[in-house]
Amino acid sequence: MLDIEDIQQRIALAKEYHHATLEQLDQIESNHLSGQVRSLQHSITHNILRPIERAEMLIDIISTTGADNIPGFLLEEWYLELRRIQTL
Amino acid sequence: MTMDDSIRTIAKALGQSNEAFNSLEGLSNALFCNLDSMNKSFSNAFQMQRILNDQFRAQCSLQLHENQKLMFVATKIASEPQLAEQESVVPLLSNLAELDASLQDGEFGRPIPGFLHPKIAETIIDLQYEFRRNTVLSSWDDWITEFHLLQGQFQRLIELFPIEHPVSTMLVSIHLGLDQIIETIGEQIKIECTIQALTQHSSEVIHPEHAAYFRLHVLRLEDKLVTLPIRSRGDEEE
Repeated sequence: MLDIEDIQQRIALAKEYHHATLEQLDQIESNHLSGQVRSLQHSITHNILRPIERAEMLIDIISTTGADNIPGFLLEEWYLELRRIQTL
Repeated sequence: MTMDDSIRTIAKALGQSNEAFNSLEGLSNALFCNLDSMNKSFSNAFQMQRILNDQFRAQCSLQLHENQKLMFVATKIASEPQLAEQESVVPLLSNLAELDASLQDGEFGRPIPGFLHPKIAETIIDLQYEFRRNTVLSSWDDWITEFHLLQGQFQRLIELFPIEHPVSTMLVSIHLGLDQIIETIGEQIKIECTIQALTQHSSEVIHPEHAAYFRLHVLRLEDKLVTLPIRSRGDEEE
């Protein structure tokens, strides 16, 4: 069983951290590095922040619908996704 | 107690047994209709439950047949006591003597085909009147309630029959089979509930990437939705 509250806290911290990173990247003023910066920002947004947002939505659905009201196979998938999120 | 009194008591007990077996047959018919409808919706996923119920019905018919044979002998001798003195009737009397012994044994006495102890028979008859079938089953919630009621009936019947009785293991098997059906219906209720939640959520999300993700889940779940069964009538039996 997952500790949803713990995941929510970690998600909040991760979001804060990654948003701060994006802001720092925004402040880099270098023509040489602009391509790499944009690539890194894109990577952070799509590979980290989007899955985190989706995890937040999944948690929201699980808590509003109730885990007992969600089909077992789907709940398993979602739990797996939330476990994966913890590693980001 | 004279022999005439005993025969009359036996005949009365056999009459109650008859009513009880008819009641069991009625319960089995009710289950048959529901299983038939479920099998139509779930591509015959519950054939095993249907076979178990068929066995139960066959057992009820056998018991009723034996009951009618015994009833005939008992009522005949009760109305014409002089028949008991004829040598050709003695083997028939020994069947009734065995039944009388079972009656004296009490509720869980020796098993006699076609006979149930009056206390057991009365409880079965009462159970029949407690069970009111819902005529319109318009949602999965109605279906799950219906199967819970049926399972409750079988649970109470299990408690009435000693394990040695031929009907006993059938009742247990049917009860276990109903667990699977209830679980399957429960899954359908969950699918409906989750589709509703996901649809609502996907309309609220701002980012198209997330909306697509939730729509995909909705499509997957819709694929697993089964048409709500329409209860068939008993006379449509194959």
